Amino acid sequence: MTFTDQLLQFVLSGVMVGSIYALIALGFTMVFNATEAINFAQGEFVMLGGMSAVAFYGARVPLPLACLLAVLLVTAVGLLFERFTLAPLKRVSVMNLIIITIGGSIFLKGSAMLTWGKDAASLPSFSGDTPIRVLGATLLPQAIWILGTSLVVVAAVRLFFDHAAVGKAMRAVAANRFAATLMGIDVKLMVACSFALSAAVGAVAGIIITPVALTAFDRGTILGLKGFSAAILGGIGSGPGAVLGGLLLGVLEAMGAGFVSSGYKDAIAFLLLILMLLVRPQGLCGARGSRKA
Amino acid sequence: MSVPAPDPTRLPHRAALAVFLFLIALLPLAVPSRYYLNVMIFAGIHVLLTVGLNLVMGYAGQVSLGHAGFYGLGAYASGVLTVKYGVNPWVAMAAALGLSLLVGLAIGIPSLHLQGYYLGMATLGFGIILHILFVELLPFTGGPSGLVGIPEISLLGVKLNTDTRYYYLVWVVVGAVLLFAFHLVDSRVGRALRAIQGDETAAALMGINTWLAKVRIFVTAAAFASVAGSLYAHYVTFLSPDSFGFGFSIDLIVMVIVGGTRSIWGSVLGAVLLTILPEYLRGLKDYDILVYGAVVILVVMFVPSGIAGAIEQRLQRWRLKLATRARVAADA
Amino acid sequence: MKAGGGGALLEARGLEKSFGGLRAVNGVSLTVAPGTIKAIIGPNGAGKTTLLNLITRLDAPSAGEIWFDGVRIDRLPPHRIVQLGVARTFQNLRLFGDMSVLENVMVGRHVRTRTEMAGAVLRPAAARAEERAIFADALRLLHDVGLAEQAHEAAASLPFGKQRLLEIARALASEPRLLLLDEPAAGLNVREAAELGEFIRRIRLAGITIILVEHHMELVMEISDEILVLNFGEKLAEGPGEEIRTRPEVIQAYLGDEAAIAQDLRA
Repeated sequence: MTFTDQLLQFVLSGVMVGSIYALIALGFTMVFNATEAINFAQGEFVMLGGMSAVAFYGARVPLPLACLLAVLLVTAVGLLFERFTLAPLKRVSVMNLIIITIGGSIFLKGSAMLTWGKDAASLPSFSGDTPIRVLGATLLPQAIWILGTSLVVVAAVRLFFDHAAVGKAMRAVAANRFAATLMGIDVKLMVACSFALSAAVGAVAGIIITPVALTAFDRGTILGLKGFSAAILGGIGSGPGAVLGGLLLGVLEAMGAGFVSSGYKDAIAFLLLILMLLVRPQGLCGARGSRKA
Repeated sequence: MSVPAPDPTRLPHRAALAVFLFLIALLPLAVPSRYYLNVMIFAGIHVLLTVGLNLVMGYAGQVSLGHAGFYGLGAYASGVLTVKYGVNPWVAMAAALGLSLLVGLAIGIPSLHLQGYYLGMATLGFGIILHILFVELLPFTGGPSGLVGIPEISLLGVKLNTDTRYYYLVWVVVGAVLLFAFHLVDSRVGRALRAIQGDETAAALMGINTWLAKVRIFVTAAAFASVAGSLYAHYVTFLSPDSFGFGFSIDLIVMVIVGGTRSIWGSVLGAVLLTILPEYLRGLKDYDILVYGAVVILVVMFVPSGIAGAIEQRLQRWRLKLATRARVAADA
Repeated sequence: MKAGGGGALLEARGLEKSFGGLRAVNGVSLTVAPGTIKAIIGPNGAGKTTLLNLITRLDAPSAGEIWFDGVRIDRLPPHRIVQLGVARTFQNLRLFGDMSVLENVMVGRHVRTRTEMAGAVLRPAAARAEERAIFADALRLLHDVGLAEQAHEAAASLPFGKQRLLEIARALASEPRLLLLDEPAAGLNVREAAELGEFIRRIRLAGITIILVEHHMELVMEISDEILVLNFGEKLAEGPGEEIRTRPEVIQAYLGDEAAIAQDLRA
């Protein structure tokens, strides 16, 4: 394998993992825009997506239907999560909001463990395991699924926010809560929508990654952290930033793993991430003025 | 003219601290088994961590998601120096403290220019990097399988090898740190920190060098955490990287919030209660994690200012009522 | 002669500040003589607050220089400028709401006191004495503005007018030589505004130079020695009040604007 082949291989696998991070980061971004809080349970939505798809598939539901059911289930969980934790609160500090989502993530993790046990589980690849050669590198068919699905989801989210009435209303809430209320937008409903949507996107990420990376009740935390980092790197609140941050993080990680050592890959990725933040304290796509939390 | 006396709503903290430490000193005489002392030793170590974290997060208003990293740094520096190099535990503890101060500076100096979630991200990243080093620096730390054989501490020729003796060591340190914290928050430095928390721009326009103040308190918290780590290492004599990961950083934040931010007593309460709670939940087997999560949510939902915050509000109302009654009596 | 020149306490030359494409301040120069009250007036969006932000370095000027008593301050961080003796208040009140009224003023003493972490924790006699002095000084200032009774209440719980006074007291606690007041009369009723004018005059009598950004024309005309009129970020006129009032360009651009007149006369 030549150096360029190697590089290509790392970039490809980096983009694959990175697009998962991008989806998770997108989930963080949507909830942040509606509530100004980081939802630390976002990673659990990802885990629940993978675990419930495995469970449905294990119950002899055909794979495509199992995936669909998993997304619907997690969306419902997202709605319930919002309904029982954030919705009843009136005035609450952002820090407390974060702690509540942390409590919620502990709760969801525990529920998953009690329901499905502690073992790791997997799904079959969506279309076989015969590697595909791309120039000098190889690619699993599932990687194509991951890239394609991520692309579709990102495009769908973009279209939703640009054209659908609900999407526009959610953007209005993100831009100015007070003005949105004056315009007759039901802010509470939009917050619930943002949770539902972020849960759905998270679930999709969790499902498509499961055939290559397995899933288990405790996998949500680290995926959530990566997604959070990607969202911050991109500039918190920015959709394009989330996608860019996710891809960048994935590629950095793959390079670190490939060229240095897999044990240090996260350390390298985080170090570079921090360095970038120090150079651009508002993230890649963040607005200069919006520096407060 | 009537000159108001010093704030009547403020608790006489030093008196309260003396009473509290007196009770803590009596505790070993009252508990039925050394198991309780064991839990209270961990509680004390956690208090060292939460008090520091509260100074950074509650008082100065700076998010830190990597506090467990400094705890691990103290623990591993102590462990490695004593196990691999045969250094005297006290010397190792001091060296660990020095190292943590340096690392605290190295992290704090650049990061504390960042704000809000961006600072959270940076501290989270540094915490994760430290954790990875604990796992990967195999020749020193023993990697994932852990570092074993950390020696016990002796003080003036007495081996601190019983729970009772170690309990007193830990809580003497806790007492010192609490006194430090109470004095600090009620001083020019403490007011500056609270001003930064309230409005950093306005604080800068009061002539406060906000960045320097933030770096100083961040490093102070790192030092407390380092000492906590050293005490932990010599107590359990075995270190595993799992104890110092992101999850524990979050546990610490939960302790601070549940106890009540911007209250030193809150940090004591939060650390002690949330160290004891999981012990009680053990009987629930795997269900403990559900109850723990639910307790965290419910406390923050229904007591948003934390336990200490709620108690202080109650006390304040009570005092106001007394003061009003006294005034009415004086007028009559 | 000092570099600041001309015996002025504050001198700004050719100040510019752009936000994106918008020129908020465009080539403004001003001098403030010691012991005087200089008012800055102009329609909303004329760049008045931005000018104060440039002086206190909340915003960095895109071009130009600012000298305070012979020291160039436009590149110093805000806390250094306060140390040199510049203090300010804010149009939208920036008190430390969770802290008590007294503590807010005590924070104001920060820059004139020295206790650092070691002193705060170990509390040697010198630190205790300083803490007592901070307490006494702060209380005295509260007494001056009539807030001593509320010393232990949370700053955020004060009525609006009193919060304004508290902000001034907090600024005075730093012993400024130059005090910048950003619309101190906004939201005050007629009686309160008159009291404020009286108070500002007393501050000046104590030897403190004042820059006053204000819409309340009556107050401005009554207490200021000189008026600077800004319009669209540029200096429109500068001079004594009576002279400014009669200049045709001022009348047209600012006073002539019926909406502005109505707004300012009502204020």
